[in-house]
Amino acid sequence: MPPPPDDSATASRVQRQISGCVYIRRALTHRTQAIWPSLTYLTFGVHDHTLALMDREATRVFIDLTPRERSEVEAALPAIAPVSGVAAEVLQRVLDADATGTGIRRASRPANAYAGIGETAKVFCVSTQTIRNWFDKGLLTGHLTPAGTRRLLREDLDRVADFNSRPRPPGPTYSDAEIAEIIEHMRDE
Amino acid sequence: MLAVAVIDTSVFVADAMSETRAASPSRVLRMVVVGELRLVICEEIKAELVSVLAKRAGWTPAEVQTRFGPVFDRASWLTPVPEEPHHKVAVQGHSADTVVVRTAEAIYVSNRADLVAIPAKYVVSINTRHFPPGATYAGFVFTTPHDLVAG
Repeated sequence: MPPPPDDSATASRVQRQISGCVYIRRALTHRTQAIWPSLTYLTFGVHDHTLALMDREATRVFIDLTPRERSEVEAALPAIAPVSGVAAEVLQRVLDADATGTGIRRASRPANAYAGIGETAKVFCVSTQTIRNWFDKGLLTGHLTPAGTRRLLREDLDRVADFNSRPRPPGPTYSDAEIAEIIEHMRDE
Repeated sequence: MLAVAVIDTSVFVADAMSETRAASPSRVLRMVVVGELRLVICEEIKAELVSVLAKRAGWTPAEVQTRFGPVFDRASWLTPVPEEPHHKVAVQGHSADTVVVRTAEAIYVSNRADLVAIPAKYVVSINTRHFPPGATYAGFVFTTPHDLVAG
């Protein structure tokens, strides 16, 4: 029997893959291995790590499954359900995910139709790390390029740039707390 | 994110009168412009915005429209539901704020199934006394701009 895998190393690899927005086919490979009778030595510790990560990412990342991927998930579900209820739940969430909802979609336009993180950060007036965090949290809907990077549609970014460029007449400036007071008093008058 | 949001006047005013455009109120409005937040608004909230900015900053209605046009263009304009006693309770007894929750409730009576179907719904305000963060009304969670877009 082969030696058991290093859980932490495997989990780390899976995390890197999922953080890099690997599609479900690869994640499914891990699961398929985990439920394969002759490979059950692939411990459920690894499996659980994967599922924990999947659970965090699934509804965002996998909202636009290809027909092939969908059929793979559907085919995997009956086999996985008896092994892991959590896995089955995650896969069902993937299947139930609304394609019009929040999530990362595949890039379907030419590369120059999308803006990179640096450009996006500049237009949003935040750091590139904040943009990455927004992508990770689902605050920004990204498009996954073939290279596996998330980008924003340039036409969406152009709208924000237009908004940023709108003039603000000169006048006094206030802190958020002062503005809240102004609003409260205006309403109480 | 794809969330529905009713944005209180205070957020618009904060964008207009803040010292920086990098602050969270401005970030929230950019989320509306980019389509991540589906803004629900009413004429009463806009009228209040025009009034506040005229009085406090000397803006004309045209200047308000110029500044916030891209946000208004992306918004769903609804008519608030009529006021009832529970609306005042929802905003800690401040009757002037009921328009915000009444506008939120309007998505359920305006044939806007597209908005109702979006699970994440927020009332966004800087005024945490009237809109305590974490409190809910009609499926809308009260939150602040900072909490909504914290990076």
